[in-house]
Amino acid sequence: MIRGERSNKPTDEDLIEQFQNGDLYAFDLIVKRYKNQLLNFVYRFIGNVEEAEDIVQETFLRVYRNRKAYQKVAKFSTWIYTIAGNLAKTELRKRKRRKFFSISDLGYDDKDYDIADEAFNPEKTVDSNIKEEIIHREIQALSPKFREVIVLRDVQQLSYEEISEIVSIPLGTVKSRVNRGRLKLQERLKRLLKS
Amino acid sequence: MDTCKRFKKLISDFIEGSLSKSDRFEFEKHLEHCEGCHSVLEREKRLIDGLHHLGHLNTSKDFDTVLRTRIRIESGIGRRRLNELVWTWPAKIPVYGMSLALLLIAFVMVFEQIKEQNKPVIPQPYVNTNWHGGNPDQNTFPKTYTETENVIYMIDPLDPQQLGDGSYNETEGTATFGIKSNFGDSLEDKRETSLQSIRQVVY
Repeated sequence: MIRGERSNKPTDEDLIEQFQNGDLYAFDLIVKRYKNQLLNFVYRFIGNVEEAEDIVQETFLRVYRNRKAYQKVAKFSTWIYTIAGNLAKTELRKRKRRKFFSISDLGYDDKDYDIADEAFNPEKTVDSNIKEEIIHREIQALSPKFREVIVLRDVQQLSYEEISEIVSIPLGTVKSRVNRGRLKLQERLKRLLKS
Repeated sequence: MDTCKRFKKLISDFIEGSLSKSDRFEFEKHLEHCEGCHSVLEREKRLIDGLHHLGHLNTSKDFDTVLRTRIRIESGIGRRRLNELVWTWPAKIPVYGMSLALLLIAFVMVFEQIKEQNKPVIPQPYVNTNWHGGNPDQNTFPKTYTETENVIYMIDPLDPQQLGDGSYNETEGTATFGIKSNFGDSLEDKRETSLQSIRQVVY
């Protein structure tokens, strides 16, 4: 559990321990807690929502298979984000090998995904969708090493310490990458960010 | 100019409030008159805000069903693999049995060979063909007797001269050796005794 959960609820670490002891309901709760967080992380990282969902599925399968490998010394959120991040990076490497990357793959497709937007205002929605798409594309244009930390820090809003563990780089490097990534991104989005 | 560069390097810390007091004070003063840095700061704040508020996707409606199915299939495959292993065992017994037998035979052969190599070497007996029986003076000893040697003294059991008591002196290294027989034995008895003695005179 990263944030927003009340303390009387079992922690992620409690749930994975219960799951390690054979409680499948605990696994269901883990999936419920993390599926959307991970989908957004992976989607913003690799840019394709269907592939992102496949990766999130695979992430949970790996958690299921390797539940005994998790040890309480690390935070569960860090562990599961590391798995998802590594799978996303593998996907990016595969893409690079295939040299098969089209800008049309980006964005939402015809699959039935829910977009959590409460106050529906058509004009505002169109405007914000365009802005979002531009921001999303510019995130994709960053190199993966900047993209990953920007998504984890500014989209997922994880702490620098958590990002350092997930990406396995020193804290100072995370901070410097986030700073440089933001500057690169704001440079690309200069026009959009004027207003 | 240097302050502008430094500011860009530390802009995230400035926004997130993790700068030292002195740096913060320095940048605040700088921002009062540097239009460029001020714009960068404003854009950075808008960017972070925009990233925070990017549309939040939810997984597709069939996500849980697909995941459960995949887990069930995987668990099923796991069980099937176990079943295959259990049920195919009887069919594999002859193969495993044969392999085991061959392995045992090879092991025994190697063991025997090692045992054979480690066997103590027994010196071959030395045959003295110049033994003349009863009279020790007539006997010749082409070789000095030692305890480690086996010596066979050949005699002619049909020659009564060679049938007599003998002795040998180990300390001197010379032997006067005859075939033991009891006094008063018949010639046949002496022959038999000497044949037995010949068989026994192997040290």
